[in-house]
Amino acid sequence: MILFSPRHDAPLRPRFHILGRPAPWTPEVANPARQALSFPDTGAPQVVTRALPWLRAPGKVAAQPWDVGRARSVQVPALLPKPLDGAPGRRSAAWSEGSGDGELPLPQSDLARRLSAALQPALEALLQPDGPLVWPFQLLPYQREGVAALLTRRELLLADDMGLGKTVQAVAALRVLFLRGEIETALVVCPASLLMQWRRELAIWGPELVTVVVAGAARERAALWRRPAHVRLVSYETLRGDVLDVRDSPALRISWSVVVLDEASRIKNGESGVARACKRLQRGRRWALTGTPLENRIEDIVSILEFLLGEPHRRASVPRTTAGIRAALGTHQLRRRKSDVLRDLPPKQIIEQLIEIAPGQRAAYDQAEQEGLVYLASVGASVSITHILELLARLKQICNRDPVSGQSAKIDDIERRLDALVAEGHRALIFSQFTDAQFGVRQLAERLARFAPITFTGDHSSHQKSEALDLFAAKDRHKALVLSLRAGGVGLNLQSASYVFHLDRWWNPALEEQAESRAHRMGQQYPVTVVRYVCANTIEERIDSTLRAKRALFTEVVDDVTCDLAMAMTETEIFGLFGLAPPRR
Amino acid sequence: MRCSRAMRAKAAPESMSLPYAKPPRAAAAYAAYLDVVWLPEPGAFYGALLVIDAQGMPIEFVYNSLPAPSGFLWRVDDVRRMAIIRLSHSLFDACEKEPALLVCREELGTLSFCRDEINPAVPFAQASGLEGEAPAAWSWLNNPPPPSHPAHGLAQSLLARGCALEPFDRIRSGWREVYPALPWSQATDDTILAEA
Repeated sequence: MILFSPRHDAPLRPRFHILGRPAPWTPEVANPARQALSFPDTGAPQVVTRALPWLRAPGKVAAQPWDVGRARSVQVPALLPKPLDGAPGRRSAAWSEGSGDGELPLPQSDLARRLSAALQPALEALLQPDGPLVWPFQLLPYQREGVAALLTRRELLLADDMGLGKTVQAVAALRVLFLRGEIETALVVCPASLLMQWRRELAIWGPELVTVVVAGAARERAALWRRPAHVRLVSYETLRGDVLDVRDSPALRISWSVVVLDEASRIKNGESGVARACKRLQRGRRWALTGTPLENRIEDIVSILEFLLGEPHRRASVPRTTAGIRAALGTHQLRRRKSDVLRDLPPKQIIEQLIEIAPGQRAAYDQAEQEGLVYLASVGASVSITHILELLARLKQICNRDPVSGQSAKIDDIERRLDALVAEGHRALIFSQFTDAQFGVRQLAERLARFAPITFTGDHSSHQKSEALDLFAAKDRHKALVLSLRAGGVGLNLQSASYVFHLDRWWNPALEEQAESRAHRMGQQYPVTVVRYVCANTIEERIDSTLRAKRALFTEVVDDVTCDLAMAMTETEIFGLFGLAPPRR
Repeated sequence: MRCSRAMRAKAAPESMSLPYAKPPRAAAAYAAYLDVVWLPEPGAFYGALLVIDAQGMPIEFVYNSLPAPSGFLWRVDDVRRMAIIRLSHSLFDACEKEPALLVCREELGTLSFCRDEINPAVPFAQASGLEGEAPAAWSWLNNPPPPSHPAHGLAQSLLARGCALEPFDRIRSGWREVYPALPWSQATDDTILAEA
């Protein structure tokens, strides 16, 4: 009885068996493409030399009447972002099916593309320090969780404490999405002061991604919107102008795969221009990053949720009740606290420094307050909150420094402390809400000149700001960085400083917390000491008690996801700082 | 100092309009993961070979299927055995890369079956262990590759990255893409032939 060999690889030739034994002869190997070693007389194995060689043992295989077809092979391309060859939102020609270019980093057929996505390693493997992607630093476990959340949720409010690396998590998530080919265009909207920092982080954490900063004159911006790029960076103000003031805005024509709002509390006023501009963007995934989703009122969060849940032409119906907000945040918010995830972060020590102002300062202060109160009384029923705020600003300036005598108890104290801490090798950040040469940042820089301070204010261009930060990071001889609270309070990484001074107090404790987090963040090696100055028996002391209450509000609402609007500062409370009642309207 | 033409050329930006850095593929050695399962409906064996690099990135996916004969004349064990052999060899033949290492699940067959029938001429290991039970481990056919063999470092790298069993999950995902209409939740190692 003769049985025909069942082997499918016919070109090699059939092998014959007689009653289960190999025939005493073996025909020649017909396929020259294969190198086969044949031992016809001994029955020893043949070595079939292929890409994946296997040994053929003659006589082992019984005959079967069914045959196997030819296997199909699909080559999986390396992870690379989709090549750019045109305006964002347009499908790349190089990506389209059937374009056979050996250099194509991505698959050509639909099946290959789907297989490429399906066969990728798990996200956890991609984010490992020794994984297939090269990361500049190791992502911490909570950061990997954050990246996973960004990848899996279409809308997410990432509300981690300041200093936990929200930017890095967002960049890592963008990188993975681009490399997997899941997104084509991303827009990052951030404060102007953070544009360079975002660009730097993208270069470090997503080196394959092409980034364009949309800034400059209108004509230049129009070209930049069209320039091929993976990630486009734009400031809130520029976006507002380009969306609301430009006809047929390029920003609105693009269908963004991802829109990221950094420091998303910038859209807390839902009716503001920047909020309306952000909500009009066509967006697939939408991420909001902020360590302070609530600064003053519950509407702060409502507006952010509208961005997350709404569509360009359909306003989201975001609940405004406590329970509704709590439910929405429970679904769409990811918030981790430093104390929970950075157990090794050095502690932060806060010194509320009650300070007696100098005699000359006291006289100037008392005079200004009396004159102010007299003025308010003269205005009578038409007194407004603006009058109160003007008086407050004036008094706070005098608390910083007497413009006549030049005396400043606060700056004297800072100078004295700097002497001590610089001798120990520490460096400091000094914040003020004022930037002028009499009461604020420039006055500080002048008085502290022997510490070679660097200034950072909103008056500086993005380039100047970037230079200032680089200089402070690189040159240890600069012992202090003097910043305006608004420009330097958010988004910066200044771990090389371990002391933070607040020359004056801002209305919003969340902003102060943010400012302190520039130093008290991941990478900080020393305990951080924060000194907040309060001049005794002045308006600052009264403001301080208000701030304490607001700080409690922040903790309750954001961290415990509860809402109590009674804690928000009211007009009555502001008038109450001077023992006045708001006029009846 | 005058600037030479070569220096100027070097200083000039490259002609690439949008340069970007390609992450290097560090490992030249590849590992192949072999799997064969039975789908009662439509009554066929499905085989796949996933080739990955030392970092776990997919390089090549080879797949094939083999309808099983129906009828009481065929012994189930023989059919399964033959199907695994044929599918494996067809996958090996179609594979374009040159893996330095082959891994299969222990459910594919005994070590002696793999040695005698599949018989790869590269270091061959069987992966065992389920999630939540004993940690995944590889049993080597014959001996583990010596340190001088490329498969040695490759195996260490893959085991360190949790790729002892995980690539078999990816093979399932690959099958789902290739044969989306099939009931993959029914995929099994227990072959039950339909009685015609």
